[in-house]
Amino acid sequence: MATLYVASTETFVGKSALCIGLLRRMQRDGFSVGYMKPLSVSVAHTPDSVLDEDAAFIRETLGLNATLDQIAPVLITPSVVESILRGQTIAYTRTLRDAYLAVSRNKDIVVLEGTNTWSEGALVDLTADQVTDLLQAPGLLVTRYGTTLNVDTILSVQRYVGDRLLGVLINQIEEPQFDFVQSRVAPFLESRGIPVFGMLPHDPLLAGVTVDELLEHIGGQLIGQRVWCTRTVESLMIGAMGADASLSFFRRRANKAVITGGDRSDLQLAALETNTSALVLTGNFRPSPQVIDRAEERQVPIILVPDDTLVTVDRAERLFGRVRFHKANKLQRFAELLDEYFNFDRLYEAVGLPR
Amino acid sequence: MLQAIFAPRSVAVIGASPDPNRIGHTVFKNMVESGYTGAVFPIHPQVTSILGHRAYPSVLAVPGPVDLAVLAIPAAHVLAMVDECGQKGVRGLVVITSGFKEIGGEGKELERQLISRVRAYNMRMIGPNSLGLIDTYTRLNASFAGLMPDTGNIALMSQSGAICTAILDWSKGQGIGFSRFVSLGNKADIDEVALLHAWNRDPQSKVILAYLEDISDGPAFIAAAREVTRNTPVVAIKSGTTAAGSLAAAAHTGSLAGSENAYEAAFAQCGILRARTVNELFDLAVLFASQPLIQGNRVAIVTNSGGMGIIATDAVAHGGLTMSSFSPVTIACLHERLPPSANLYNPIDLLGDARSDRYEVAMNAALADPAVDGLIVLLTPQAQSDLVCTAEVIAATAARYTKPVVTSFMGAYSLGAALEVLRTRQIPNYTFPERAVQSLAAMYRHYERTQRPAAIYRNYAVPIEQVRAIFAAARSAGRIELNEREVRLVLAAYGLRVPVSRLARSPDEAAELGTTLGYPVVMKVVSPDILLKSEIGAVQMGVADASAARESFTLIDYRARKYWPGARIRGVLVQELVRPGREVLIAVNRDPQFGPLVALGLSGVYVEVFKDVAFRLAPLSAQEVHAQIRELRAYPLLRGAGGTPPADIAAIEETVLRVSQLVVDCPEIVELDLNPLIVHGPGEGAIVLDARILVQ
Repeated sequence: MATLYVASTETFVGKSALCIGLLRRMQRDGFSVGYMKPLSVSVAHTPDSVLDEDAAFIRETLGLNATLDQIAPVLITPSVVESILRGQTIAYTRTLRDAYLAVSRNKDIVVLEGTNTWSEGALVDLTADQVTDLLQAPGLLVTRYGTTLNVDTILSVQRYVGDRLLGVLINQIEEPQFDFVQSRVAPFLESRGIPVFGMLPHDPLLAGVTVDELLEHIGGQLIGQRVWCTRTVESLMIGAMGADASLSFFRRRANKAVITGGDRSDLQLAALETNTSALVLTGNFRPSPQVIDRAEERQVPIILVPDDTLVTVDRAERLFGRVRFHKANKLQRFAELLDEYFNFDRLYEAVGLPR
Repeated sequence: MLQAIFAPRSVAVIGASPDPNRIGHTVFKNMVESGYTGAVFPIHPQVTSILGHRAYPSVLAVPGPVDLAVLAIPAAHVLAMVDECGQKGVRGLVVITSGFKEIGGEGKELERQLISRVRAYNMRMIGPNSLGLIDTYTRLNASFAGLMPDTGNIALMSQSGAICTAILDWSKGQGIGFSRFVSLGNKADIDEVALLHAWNRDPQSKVILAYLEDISDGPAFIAAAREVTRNTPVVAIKSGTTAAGSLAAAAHTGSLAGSENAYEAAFAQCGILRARTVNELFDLAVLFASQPLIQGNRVAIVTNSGGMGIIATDAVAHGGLTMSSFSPVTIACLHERLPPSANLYNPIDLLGDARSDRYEVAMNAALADPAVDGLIVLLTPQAQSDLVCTAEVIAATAARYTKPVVTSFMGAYSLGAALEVLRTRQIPNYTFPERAVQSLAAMYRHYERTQRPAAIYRNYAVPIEQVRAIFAAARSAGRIELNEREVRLVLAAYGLRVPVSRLARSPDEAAELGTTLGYPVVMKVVSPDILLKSEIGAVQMGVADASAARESFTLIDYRARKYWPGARIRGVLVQELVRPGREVLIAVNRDPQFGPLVALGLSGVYVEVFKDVAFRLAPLSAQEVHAQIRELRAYPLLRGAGGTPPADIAAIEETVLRVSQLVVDCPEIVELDLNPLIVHGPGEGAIVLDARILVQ
């Protein structure tokens, strides 16, 4: 039985999506798979339970038979933190080991979704370093190529865990850098004994949020049809200029949500003239019938919010950067990227999975 | 000429009502009382007779044929009635009913169904949401206007029904007559373009007036207006072009106003005279309607006040007209017959005690002079003036010549009777001389246009398939901006010169590329997020060697990231150094109503501080580009003024023409900037230093 720990040193690099992508492909390749998340720090409270939503989603998506308690055995809630600070000792390593034994029974491979950062989990002795040591799980480090690639981080992780670093996946590489990463960065890492299992190009679909998510996040009333809300929002633009300059401004970005005053019909029409995924109208002004008609023609949903533009922008911005992956089309796209850019054979061999 | 609409042989009024409070009643009453000689049928489900005319329950029950049907019924019944009209063989509709597109939602859908039925029955339609239409020659008044206008030779279309009634009311008091009067309403079928075509070469209309809030199809409008203004002057008010005005228009009509610059260019290129105020609209209308067309730009002024003569002379110079230099014959004639202290040279000053006889002498002398194309007659009421008699003499003298004569009788209290004479004798009078001069100047602009040779459009041979493939690739990658390489390929395909350049993604790569291209080179950041590259120091000129190239790469990268953390930086472009020249900006912005608007100016302060930019709409003819470049205030600099070397103006013109063809060929381009285009000396050509292309 093999184990793989998916590690990262920063948030929102695509860890959960990668876990699903790996597990699905492994299932397709005929392996029996298990999944668990040794440590959950962001937990959701529902009326009758406390749970890790991401883990629950993955369990359901993959049709896993382990219970949610086994899949996400350690939930760090504020009350847990408080009791530890008060001096109470809880043996989480034991809980984890028991859950791991249950999840891994009769499996070819178990994928562990690691912590967000290198230090996360220190309070309960379940950092990436500690878990990979405890369960003897080699780590696959996920990094992203934002504006620069932090090679330092990769090298220091290697220095820290040594052989337990199985290799890296470089995610979200912008198209112009792709060539550079391929020809310079990857050979360098390989020469330092760090296998590069995959290099994934940046994909706007994966980076964006859907109008649905935006609507759910900022609230407000929807004008238009629900089915249009599957459109992706890649960025936000604020409409606050004179009408003359607006068209040229809105043309600079595609798949955007335009946030503007509900009384600015001129800007609303200009935005609808360009590639816009949604109009967010502030101040609770209902748009004119003409704007609604035009939006209908272009199938662009309008979200009406009571806040002013500044507050709305502030709130909407928080949604970006924390990419949600709970969407079939995103998972599908990510799987396609993995099939194309990730070397599964090399991974199987590295973790000792017989083909 | 839309016979069924303007000259029907029979009319049915659907919704005619015996109740005087209903619009249907007013419409029918107007039909009956306007003097229309064709058959008129009121249609009403119950009543048997309205205003002494036999009423029918349905248009299908009318015994003879019906050419035109006027609908003044609730919106819910309109479709059913249109079906009956279609079955009856009605050819024209005037739909007064409102509750269509203007209310949005269901109304819009209703309008869509209405128009599809109108098309299916092969009918033409005015409206819906229209005040109706009036033709003073066929005496057709299919409107709910309160008045029937006087017969005249001004055709008017208005997108606002309320403005129609206001104009009607006002003109009646001014003695201004109309040939046709149309309230366009929602213009679902017949719009401004259809009416321009219909009124082209209309013998009863000497001038076309238009009040427009939006234009349905910009390119079709321009094409129609180009054609019409070769024969008939068109004067238009386009409202909603200021920022506040366009917001008002957006809320009112739901149309995204084209930019002010686009309207200005569109009207100028298609020869429409643009009125800024309703006052100006009628100043021009009255002049075109009553006076012969001016045949040149030389005017004479006759006045009984030296001061007013000078004011008018200033206005002539400002308005683009010139003061005539009289022939010796004219001077001699004036010398012989005017008092010794009168001024015989243009402006002719008849002195304050002038009576009608002096006016007659001066006008005859001036109008007979071949160096005079038009005449402005000024009068200030003095104790000795014989106002009414002078007005009579002016009208009688003007009638003997085929040159336009306008007057400015200044004052009000004592002028009533004299002004009435001028009005009835069709001499346009303006309260102040400036307006008189401006109107003549506009008339001259129209004349000039009618004399212009037909435009010549060049067509350069272009490997269009290659260009299409580039756009297709960008589209399939979901990009809205072409990358550096694609821009170069597109420009090169259209015959524009671009410097040799390559993208470097590391300091070493920059050094290698510099060696390949040959030092010195130019280096600049490539990022879709950073527009003002040189302002933030992300452009390095004259990079001399490999080590400088490495340093420049690092510096540029650093500055770009510092200026905009998180900017998408593609790398640094290493480019062949182009020797300096005049820097010109060519920018295209696709206007939602009129299409590609091409801006031209000298880069830097000329554009940014002095806003010295000339706009034209593509496609551009060679003549239009010729005029565009000469319209720049900085044009003398290109020609070589103040010690600056002259630039290759022909190369700029050719570049604009090639760009014009590019944006017309490729409708996916929404914005294009060549900034700067480096222009060298005459015959040495021009080269595009930096460019960007945005697509939709």
